[in-house]
Amino acid sequence: MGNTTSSTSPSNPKITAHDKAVLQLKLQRDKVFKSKQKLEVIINHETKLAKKFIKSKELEKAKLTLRKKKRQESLLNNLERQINTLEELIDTIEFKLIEKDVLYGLEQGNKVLKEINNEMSIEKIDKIMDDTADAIAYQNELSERLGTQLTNGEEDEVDEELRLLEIEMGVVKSTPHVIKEDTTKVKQKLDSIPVVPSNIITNEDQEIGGEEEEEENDNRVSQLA
Amino acid sequence: MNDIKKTGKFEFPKVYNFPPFFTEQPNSNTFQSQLEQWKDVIIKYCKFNKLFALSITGKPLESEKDELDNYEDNDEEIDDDDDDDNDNEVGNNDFSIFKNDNINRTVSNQFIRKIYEFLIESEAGEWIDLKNKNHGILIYWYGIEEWSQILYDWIDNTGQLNSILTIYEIRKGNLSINQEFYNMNNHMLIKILNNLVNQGKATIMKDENNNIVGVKFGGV
Repeated sequence: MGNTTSSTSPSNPKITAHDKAVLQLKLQRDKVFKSKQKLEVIINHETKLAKKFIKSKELEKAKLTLRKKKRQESLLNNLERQINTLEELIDTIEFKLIEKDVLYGLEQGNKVLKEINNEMSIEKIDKIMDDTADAIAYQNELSERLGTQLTNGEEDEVDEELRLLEIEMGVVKSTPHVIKEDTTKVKQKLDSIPVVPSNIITNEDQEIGGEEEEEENDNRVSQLA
Repeated sequence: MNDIKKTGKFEFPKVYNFPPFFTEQPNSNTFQSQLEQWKDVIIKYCKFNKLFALSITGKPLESEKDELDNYEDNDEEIDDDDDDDNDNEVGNNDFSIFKNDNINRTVSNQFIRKIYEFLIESEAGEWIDLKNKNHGILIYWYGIEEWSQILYDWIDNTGQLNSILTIYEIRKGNLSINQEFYNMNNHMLIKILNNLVNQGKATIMKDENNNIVGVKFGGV
C-alpha cells in the first residue's frame, strides 16, 4: 500500500491505519469478485461451446469442454466461499471499530462526569452554602438598618399618604373631623415642601394655588361623605 | 439484433429520422440549433440506456467490458475456433448513435467531434483523456455537482459515512445496484469523487500504483 492520503481541505476525513486495512480487504474482495464474474462468463461460454461440439458430432471435444467447465465451476464455488470469508472479516472489523468508538464515547463521558463531580465536592458545596447564609444574614442586617433609618423622619408621612389614598379610594370612611385635621396637615406640608404625597391627588390645582386645593379637598371629602 | 435489444425502448425524436440532421448545416443558426438537438438526443439516449461514456464514433463505452473481453480473448487462444459470433453476443454493442440505418445516414467524424465539443462547452460532457480524445467522451446527464450530491446523499442515507468504500464497490456493489450511478464509468466517478474531495466531504485512497481505488466519506 502506498501513501494514501490526499487532503486539499482541512475538513476532509482522516484515513487511519484501520481504514487502510479495511481498504486492502475490500480490494481483495473486489478482485475475487471480478474473477468470479469472469469465470461465470467463461462457464457460460463453455456451455455454448459444448453444445456446438455436440451439434458437429465432436463428442470428445464436447466432453473435454464439459470437464473443463466442471473444474471451473468448482473454482467458482471456491471463489464464492473466499468472498464470503473476506466479507465476514470486513464486517467483523467494521463492527469492532464501532465497538471501539462506543468504548471511546463511554470513556469520554465517564471522564467528563468525573470532572464535574470533582468540581462539586461536598466541602465546596458546604462552603458555598455557608457563604450564602452569611450573605443572606448580612443582607438582612443591612435592610434592617436601612429600615430603621427610614422610619424616623418619613414613616409618618408614609402613613399619612396611605391614609389619604385610602380615603380617596373610599376604602376607609373617616369622620369629617379627622379629615379636616388631615387636610390642614397636608396644606402645611404643601407650603413647606413642594413634593409631598398629596401631589398625586391635586396635580393641576397646585399650579393655580394652594388655597383652591384645600377647597377642592373639602369638596371631595364632602362628596365622599 | 443487439441494437434493438439495447435501444429498442428508447424512442428517438422525429428529427433523428430526418436525413439532414446527420449532416452539418451550413447556416450558422440552423447549425447551432442542430447542435442543441444533438445534445438533447445524446443526453436522453445515454440517460435512458444508462450510458456514461461514448466512443469517438458514438458507441457505448463500458469501462469494465474491456477487461472481460481481454480475458475471453486469452481463453479463445486455447480452444481457438470460430467463436467470433459468440464474441459479439457476449456484450459488444455496435450501435452508434451517429448511425441511423433506417434512413441510411451517418454523422461524419468531423461533425461528431464538433458535437462533442459542443457538449463539453455546455458542460454536458468531458473528454475521458484530454491528451487523447480518441478515448471517448463522458456524457453528463447530470452535472458533476449534481452527481456529487446524489452520491453523497446516498452515502449519507445508507449510513456509509466514515466507512471505507472501494471504487469498484460504489460502481458495482450490491448496495448501489438500484442507484443511478450503478455501473458508472470509472473516469466519471473519479471526477465526481475529486469534486467531493475539494468540498472537504471525502478523502481518496490510492494503491501502490497510484491509482485511486478507495474513498472515505465524511461529514462536513
